[in-house]
Parts: sequence; C-alpha cells; structure tokens
Amino acid sequence: MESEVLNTENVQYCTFQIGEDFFGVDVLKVQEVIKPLQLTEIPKSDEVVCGLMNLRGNIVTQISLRRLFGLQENEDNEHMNVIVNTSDGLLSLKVDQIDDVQSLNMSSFETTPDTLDVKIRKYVKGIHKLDGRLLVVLDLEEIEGFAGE
Amino acid sequence: MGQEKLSPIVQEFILESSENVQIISTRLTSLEKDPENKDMINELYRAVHTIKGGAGFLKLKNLEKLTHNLENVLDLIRADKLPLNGSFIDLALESVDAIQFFVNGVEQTGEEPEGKFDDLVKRLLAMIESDVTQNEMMSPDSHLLDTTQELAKALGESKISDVNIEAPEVLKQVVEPAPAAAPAPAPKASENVVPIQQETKPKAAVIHQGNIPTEAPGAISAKPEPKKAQAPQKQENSITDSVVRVNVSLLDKIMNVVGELVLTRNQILQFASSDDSSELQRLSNQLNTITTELQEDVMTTRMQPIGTVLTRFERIVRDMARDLGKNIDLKIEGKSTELDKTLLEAIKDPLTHMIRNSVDHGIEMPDVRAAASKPELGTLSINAYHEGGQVTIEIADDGGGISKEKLKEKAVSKGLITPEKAASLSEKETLNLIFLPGFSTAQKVTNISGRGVGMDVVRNNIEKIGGKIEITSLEGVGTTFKLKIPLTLAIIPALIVHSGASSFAIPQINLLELVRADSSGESQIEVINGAEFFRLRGDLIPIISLNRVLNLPEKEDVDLQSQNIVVLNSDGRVYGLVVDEISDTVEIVVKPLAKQLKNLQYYAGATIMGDGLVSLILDVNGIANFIHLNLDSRREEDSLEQQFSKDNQEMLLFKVYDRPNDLYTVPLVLVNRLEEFDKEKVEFTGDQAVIHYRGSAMPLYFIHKELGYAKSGFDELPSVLPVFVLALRGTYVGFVVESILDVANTIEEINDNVSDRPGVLGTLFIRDKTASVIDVFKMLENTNFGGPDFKRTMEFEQQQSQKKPEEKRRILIAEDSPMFRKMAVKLIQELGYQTFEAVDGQDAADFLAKNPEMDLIVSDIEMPHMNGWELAKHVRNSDKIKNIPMIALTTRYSKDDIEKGRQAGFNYYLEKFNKEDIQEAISKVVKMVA
Repeated sequence: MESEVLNTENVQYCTFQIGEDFFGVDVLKVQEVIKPLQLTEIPKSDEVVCGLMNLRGNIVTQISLRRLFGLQENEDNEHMNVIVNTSDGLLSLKVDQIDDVQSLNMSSFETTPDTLDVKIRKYVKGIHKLDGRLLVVLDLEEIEGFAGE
Repeated sequence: MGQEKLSPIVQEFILESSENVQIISTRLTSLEKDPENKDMINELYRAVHTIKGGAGFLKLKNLEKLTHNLENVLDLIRADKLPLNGSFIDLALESVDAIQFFVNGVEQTGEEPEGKFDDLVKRLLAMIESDVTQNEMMSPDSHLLDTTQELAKALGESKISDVNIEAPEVLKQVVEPAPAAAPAPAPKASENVVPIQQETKPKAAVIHQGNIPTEAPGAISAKPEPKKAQAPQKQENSITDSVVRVNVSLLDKIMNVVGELVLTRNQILQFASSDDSSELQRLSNQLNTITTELQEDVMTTRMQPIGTVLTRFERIVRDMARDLGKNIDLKIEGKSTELDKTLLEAIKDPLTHMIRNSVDHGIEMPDVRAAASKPELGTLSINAYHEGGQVTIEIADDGGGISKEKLKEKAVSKGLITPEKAASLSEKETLNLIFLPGFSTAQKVTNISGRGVGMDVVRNNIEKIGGKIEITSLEGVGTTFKLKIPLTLAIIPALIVHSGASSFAIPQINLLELVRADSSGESQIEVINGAEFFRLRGDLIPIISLNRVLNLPEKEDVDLQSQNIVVLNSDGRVYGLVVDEISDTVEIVVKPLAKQLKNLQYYAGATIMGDGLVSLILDVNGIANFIHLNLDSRREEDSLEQQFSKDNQEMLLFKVYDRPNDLYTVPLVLVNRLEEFDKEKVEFTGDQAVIHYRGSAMPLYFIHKELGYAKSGFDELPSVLPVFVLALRGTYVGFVVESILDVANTIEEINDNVSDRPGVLGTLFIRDKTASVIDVFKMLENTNFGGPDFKRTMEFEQQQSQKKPEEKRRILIAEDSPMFRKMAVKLIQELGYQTFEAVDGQDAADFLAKNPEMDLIVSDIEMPHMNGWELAKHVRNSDKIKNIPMIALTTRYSKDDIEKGRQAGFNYYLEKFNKEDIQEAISKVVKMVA
C-alpha cells in the first residue's frame, strides 16, 4: 500500500508470511533474504534455534519464527530466511514465504492489540491496519533476546 | 629529544597519556551537549584516573596533584554532588591543556617540566570545597573531605577560596596553540551552558590539530630516517609519531580476513586433493604455504608476551611498598606467556587495580605480620600460564585475607544488600560482594588504590573480553584472584571428532591423548555406580559419551568395550570423552556463538570447516561440569578451605556383608580394577578362595571375614560377587565386598584413634558419614599372602623396629597428600626407621637446608610448589645433600617417567604402595649407605 502523505513518517517494511498471518520488520534491519542453506544443528539448544549456517564466511544462527510463536513447524513447505542485523551480529529468521517491501505511513500504525496471542505479543511492536488485513510489525530486539528469559 | 633516551615506561606513559588527553577533551565537548551521559563521565573519570596513576608512579608530583584534584571533581559530578556545568567544563579543559603541557615536557626532557599550575589546582579544590561545604551535613562521605583537607594542607593553603591569578601567564607560554586557555576564574555554579559551548569548542579543535598527532586508523606513517629526525620539525620526531600504532579494530579486520582466507584455503585443499590436475595441486600447495605464513605473521603482530604488562608492576609494587612502609616481594612467573594484543590491552588496567589493591589492602604492615607470626616480607605473586585453552593469570598475596564479616557489614551499611540477604550469603557470594558497583574495600581512601574505580570496573572489563574473575580468600592466609582470559578470534589447532551425525572441534590445547578402549586388553571401561571409568596407566579417569552429553542418537551395535576415547584436560581435571569417530587435526577459526546460544555450556564457539559447513567447538570445561554433576554434585559446593587445599583424595566407597549400616572405604589409587565374579567360578585351595583371573589364580579375600564378621558364610553369598582388585608384586589380589557404591572426594585426614579392630586403619568423615578405612596391607599380613619372601620381610621389619632409636636411620618423606604421607610414614616406621615429613618438595628442600644429615629421601612426584623431579634436581645440585639416596614413590609409572626420574637423580622409582617393593628398596638403599 503506497502512501502519498509526505508530511508524516513513512516506514518501509520487509514483509513475510507465517501461516495465514502477515508480518513485517523494518527493512533497514534486513541485510538480505536467502533460500535455505545447509544447517548445522546445535544439540541441546532451545527448540526455537534451528541451527547454524555459513553465510559467506559468517556464522549465522537461524531461529524459527514458527517455533518462537508456539506454532508447529511446517516441514513440507519450502521456507525462506530473512537475514537481519542485530546488535549481536546477524540472525536468520525462518519464515514461510516472503512478500514485498511495503512503505507504510505511521498513521496506520497502532499499538499491539490485547487480543493478540500472548505467545506472540511480546515480540510485536504494533500493527498496521491495511485493506482487509493486518501487518504485524515485529520487535527484533525482543526476538533477538528471546534466550534471555 | 630522541625517544631512545626515554625509558620504555616513560614512552608508554606518554603514548597512553596522549591518548587519554584526547579522550578527555573529546568527551568534555560531547558532555556539554549531553551532560546526563553517565557513561561518558565515567570514561572521563577513568582517563583522568589512568593519567593520575601513571603520574604517581613516575613521580610527576605536580601532574599527579592536578589530576588527583580533577579526579576528585569528577568523582563528585559522578555522584551528582556537583553540577556538570560550564564552569566545570572550562576548568576541565584548562586542566587538559595543563596535562598536555606536562606530557609534552616529559617527552622532551624526560622530566617533569616546571610549572605548578597552583592556581588551577586551587580552583579545582575550590570546586570540591563548594560541594563539601554544601553537603557536609548530608553526605557522610568523610573520605573525600579528608582527602581534600589533607591536600589543602599539603599545598600550604588555609584559605581555599583565595584565588591566585598568576597562572595564566605560565599557561600562555606553555600551551601556545590554545590561546583561549587563559581564562578568568569562572563564576561558580553557572548553569548557563550554551555560550560556553561556543567558547570551548574551538579550544578543543586546537588541541586536536596542534598538540596531538592524529591517529586515524590506518594512517600509517613511515618511520622517519635518523637524519631527518634531527630536522626542526618536532612533530615528526615525537614518540607518538615514530611508532606505528594501528587501530586494533583494523588488526581485527585483517585477522578476520586472514581467517576467511584460511577457511577458503582449507576448502581449496580439500577440493584439490580430489582432483588429478597436478597444476592445481601445485598451486594449492603454494597457496597453502603462503597462507600459513601470512597467518603466522598476522598472528605475531597481535601477540605480545604478557611480561610487557607484568614488568610494569615491579616498579609500581616497589614504589607503593616504600610509600606505605611495607616489605613486599613480587614474584612474577610466566612472563613469556603470549596473549593477543587486544586482550593484553584490556587486562592492563584491571590488573593494575588488582595489584594496587593487593599491595595497599592485601598485604599487612610489617608489625601486623610479625604479630601474626608471618614473615615480615609479604609475598605478592603473579603467575600467568596457559590452561584449558585459556590464559590464566593468578594474583596471590599472603596478606590478611578478606574479612567476610566486614564485607557483609559494609555491603549492608552501604545499602547494597539487606541484612537478611547478607546472612544468607555463602562464602563465595560474600567475597563476590566486592564486585558490586559502589563497593570499595578500602577503609580509607588513599591516593594509591583509587576509589570506586575498584573491583566492579575490573570485573566489567574482564567480562567484556569474555573472561572470568574468581576470588578466593582465607582470613589471615591471603587472597588469590584468578583471571581467566579466553581464547578469542584466534586460529587454533583442533581435533575434529564425529558423534551422532555431526562433527565437532575440540581445541588441541585441551587434548591429552587418544586411546581406544579394548575389551580384551588392559584398557577396559569399568562401571562404578552407573558412572563409567577408564583406567589409564594406573589412574582411574571418568569417561562420558559425547552422545549422552548432547542427547545425540547412540551409535547402533556399539561395543561398550571398544570405543574411541579422547582424553581431555579441563583445568587439571582429566576425563575421557567417548566419541563415535576421530578424524583429523585442522586449524580452525574460533567464532563466538550468538547470544541466544551463550547459555549452552557445552560449546566454546563455532567454526567453518573445509567442506563449508559449520561445526561447533566443544567447551571441554563445560562438558567436564556435566560429568561432575553426575559423578559428585557436591563438588560444586566445595568450601573455600577445600579449594585452597590440594590434599584431595579419591576414595572408593563400598559396603561389606553383615554390616548393612556401615560404610567402608579404601583410597581409589590403590585399586587396580573393579570386577564382578560368578560365585560358581570361585575355587578353594584349602581355606583360601581363588579365582582364575588374567591367566593365573588370584586369591580372594572376603573383607567381612577379615574384619571378623563371619555370619555370612560363602554359601549365603549371592551368585555375583563384586570385587576390587589390587595389584601387588605383580600378582592380583581380590577383595570381595557386598556392593561398590561410589567414588567420593575428601580432604579429611584419617582419624586413627578409632581403629577398633585389625584391618581398619581408622575412620574418615566422608559425605557426612563416617566410613572405616580398610587397611588392605594389614589384612594381607594377617593372611598367608605373599609366601616366604613376605614372611622374611616381616622378620626383617621386626629386627629393625627392635633397634634403639639413636641407631635408627633418618628418612625424609615428601608427600603432599596427608593420607599417603601417613601411610608412607607407617610403612617406613614398620621397618624401624625414623621418619621426617615434608608436605611438598619446597618444604622438603627447606627442611634439608636445616637438616642435611638424612639417610634417605622418599618423595612423591606430583606435588605443589616443587615437584619430585625438581626436588631431586635440587638435592643433586646442593653440595651438602647431593649424596643422599632418593626413592620416588608415585603413581606415574610409565617408562618415560621412570627415565625422567632417573635423570633427575632418583635411585629408585617405585609404584606407590607396592608395599613389598618399597620396603625392599628402602632396606637395600639404607644398607648400601651403611
């Protein structure tokens, strides 16, 4: 959804799908989107952690957003990886499907509704109400720090 | 003035101070915009503190005075007792110029330049005073008050507000590039920051351009030619220019790129080896050579011996000790231990603080020491060494130790913890209180140890580089700090192993050896109470399967007795890790794990392998902790006293028939093997039970019978008999017990007052219970074990013990374990000799210095302070005692060890507690001397 209001702030989101839901992260935080690479599993790690990958010489930890949100892993379908920059280096988010980069006006931004599933809520910054659907904006810092709990 | 005339310490000071001056001036200007930034104030404070420290130790009195007061002001600002306003910034910038003046002067002449800056100091003092007078009632922080007043006195000034305006002239002369630096005394407490901002900014800019050579990363200037150095351009000649200082982050980057290169090379080598093209082979070999060379070179640019940092302390300690009137002997070991530059830089300040603390608060005044019957000369030792893939730096003093009660009191009085919390703290937790921010152990704040920068900063700095700091302290005995600095961003050799479907890297530095357990031969896996052990040349080492540690699928149809064991060393604890397959040794680049994985103690990092896949690097210490918990969870709670003690004994715990409520034990080191035998296979020759074992008939003794409990006859015993086997004089002897329980650690000494029946050596308090220690040797004496030879020894013993004391031979026993010392003493006294005891090699050497007329020295090999080999060398190189025969008693009984012992000067090398051999050898040697 393109916005034409220039005076208010626009944010570009890299959007993707998990199940039927649409999510977005600040596009400035996204380094790239890649197809699955071969993973090295980490025995005894949290189930949210899928493993480690070699991204052109960088070791990147991949976590599954499905698992993080308490959903079943969708083994049959193909998935994609969104590589995001965090304070701690690169992190790969495993998502079902990649959508467009969307530029959205902050006027459509709302705080996280209480009705959102508790498991997901703390990883969410807020939502954008779009035509007929919601874009859930993720809080990368929370996602990155999930192990701290 | 050429820098070659300046000592390295002064050069270091100049470089460091120039950097700090720059930090201070940039921070000051930033602070104007962001006065609430506590981090920046702290940084500022530390930079000033560092300069003060350097000045203090180079005896630059005026600079020290100036920075000390600037530090005081900053301390008050930090504590929100003074406002951070324009007048402060002015004063601080003026001080910066003055500091730069001093530093330049030192660089040019090697001495502190003239110029006292009394006026500046006074204004700083006035600023401090303004707080003290305001807050005297509310702030009980008398330390600062004291300091201020003392300093005021030292300056010979009674009226602090009396401002002297002479100084600007001096300033103008010396700090020429900063013409604005001669300010009128700024009006106090002006909150008006904005106009001053304008004024100070250009000043800072001048400082950047004029006084401090730029140090942009990568700005590498060529070393000036000697001739050129005499040219009038003084900038080119200064130390700060002629030394190429490369920003560490650039080195890091180069290191990372080289790391990638190494990985790519590995991949190419792997690819080339599967290709037939000889040209590719040749090129890849060439690439290999070049890469290796480059890698080594880059590594060396980063590595520096830790001595460069440690030797600084010699001077610091000497000067401080003199100032304080203490006698301190500083011992530095491991100067050549190399450490990555980044790490070295990072530990420099923390180490300095700790050393200063130890000198100031750790070691007592001579009279106090004398009163506590300690030598007046206190010892401070710094020891750096590689251990478990880490560099460990130990700072130990033999001072008064830390009073735990005082720590608690102080923490409570400072409101850091509640009294209830204080009461519930363990010893270790109590000691860790000193790491809390705002906690300083100093009773009095002195110029020497600083204030509040203390241990919280030390710990933060160490943890920032992924290190750990541990403290142990015994009141009256001393305090030891242990810094563990991890291996980071280094390329290290590692062994690749496979388990489950994954491959793992094990740092070579932790690797002792690779063995293969084998059901047929000597190397067999034994199970004690569910925990597996493996006997490696007489030592029983715990083993654990990597598959089990990591919950990996167990390999199918695995033969328990035929497995690959990687023997590892984790901080001195040795254990075996069973893996499915052992592969190659390769060089790997250690990459840290993301923070989501940091809490997994099993991994030290990850690396990229030749095939491009990521492998995990195992954390040998983390895995050791895993076994630890399984084996003996109590070890975690070892008290400090226990940690101090090196007398840890491993004891095998078991039960015997007819005594269901009693616990029995023997030292594990005596036990050669644990077995279970079918009762049916036991045969009797006369009354003696024997069993066919390893190709010969092994006598079996039933411990309960030997102890006189005879209710359960042979027929009543169950069909499977647990047995522990001893090897004596080349034959095996089995002891039948009801059940083998566990292996436990103890440091307790055997209490032999309660040796109520023959066969019991005494009791031992272990696992909160009392266990009877079985004297297996006594038991064998009571039987007809050993045949005529043994009888003869017995008779000989009796003859010996009938001799009168004055005829007795004098034998010195050096053994660190109290239990074995006791046993050795007993054994030798049985032969009728007079014994003297030493608790380690050093103790023995000291004893021999006073008592050279010994007939024999019996020594253990593994001992703290001075081991058996060192003792032997010492004895052979000391005139008075070099002819005393020496016997080594040890569990280290390999060919190499025997040869090493022979070379060191031992006449005999015997396995520990092979009683007959020992007695025979002693008798032989003593006769020889006679």
